[in-house]
Amino acid sequence: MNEDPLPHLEDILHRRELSPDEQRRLNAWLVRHPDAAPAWVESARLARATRQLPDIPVPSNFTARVLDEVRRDAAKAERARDSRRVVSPWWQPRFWIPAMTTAVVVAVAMGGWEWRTQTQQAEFKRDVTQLRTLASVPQEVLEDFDAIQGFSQSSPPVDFELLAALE
Amino acid sequence: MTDGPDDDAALMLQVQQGDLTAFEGLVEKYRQPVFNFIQRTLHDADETEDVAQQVFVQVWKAAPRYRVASKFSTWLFTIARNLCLNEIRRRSRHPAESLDAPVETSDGAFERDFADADIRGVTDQVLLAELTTKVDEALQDLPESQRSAMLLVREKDLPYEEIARILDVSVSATKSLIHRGRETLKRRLKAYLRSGAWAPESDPTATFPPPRF
Repeated sequence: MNEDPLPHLEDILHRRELSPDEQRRLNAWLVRHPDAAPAWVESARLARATRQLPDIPVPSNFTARVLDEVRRDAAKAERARDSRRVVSPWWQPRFWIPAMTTAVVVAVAMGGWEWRTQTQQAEFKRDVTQLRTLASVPQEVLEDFDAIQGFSQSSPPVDFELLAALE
Repeated sequence: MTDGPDDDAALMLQVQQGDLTAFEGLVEKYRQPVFNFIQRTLHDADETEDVAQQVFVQVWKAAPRYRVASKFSTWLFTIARNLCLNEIRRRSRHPAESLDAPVETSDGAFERDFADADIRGVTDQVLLAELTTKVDEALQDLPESQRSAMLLVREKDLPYEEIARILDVSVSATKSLIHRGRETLKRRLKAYLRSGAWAPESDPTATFPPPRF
């Protein structure tokens, strides 16, 4: 037993009391190395004092408070998960049902728009054709067009007295 | 902390499944050592409560990432230390005057209740309490890494390898931190440690033959 056991025993003493066997080793070493005893006394007392530091009082409701906090946190996480579920993975019906619905609505809207555009283009084409036909009419035919148009649009005032006499 | 690490790992696997009862078991088991560690690191009762609560909430939140690669207590104290370091950093950014700090009097002297180092004639109980206070104060003045190492080595279930993981240093660096911390405390508390008047009958140092000096 030539190796100094004191550092190892000091380590042990910082965690627990020495076992009878460890105590015997210590005693045997100190009998053969009395000059190490004063330093050992200080080390051992520090170890004991450090080990015996009193526990810090823990509030009686500490565990309950931690559990409350954890429950609140779990509820918050659940809400966050729910909000993320609005966009679900593609393989889930939650994803593709709204996706299909959206696709159908978009397709119908685009078809409607296309139909409307084509109808408008056809009307425009017809108007242009009529205008071209009109443009090809001889100039003298249209000479009194405005006057004739005025006749057709204006009508004489109704003579109610004449109507009554005829009746 | 009487149960083995396997029990803790088993509980954590249950916690991963969202088992609140298993989580409650871990909180009940570790709240005292966590409180001791945090209070002796931060020295503020209110902050200790808040940080201890954060530690366990963090355990719950991080449970899905927990792997049984090391002991649960190693993981737990790593979280506790990191949160303490955050708090210490926050304090250094927003320093507040401590009510325990020495108050300078009008004549420039510091008024503080320093105990007389001569402890003869006082009961063992009082002396032990005084030594405990002194150890607490001396611990507080150690650099953070030395203090953490000294506090963690008190935990029976934490070998040097686990303490090294918590402190994120090598095992030899951990031993060095603990050695330097102990030497500093011995120097600072020499008067108390030499007298031994406080030592109760169960003092293990009392069982070997008295030194011849």
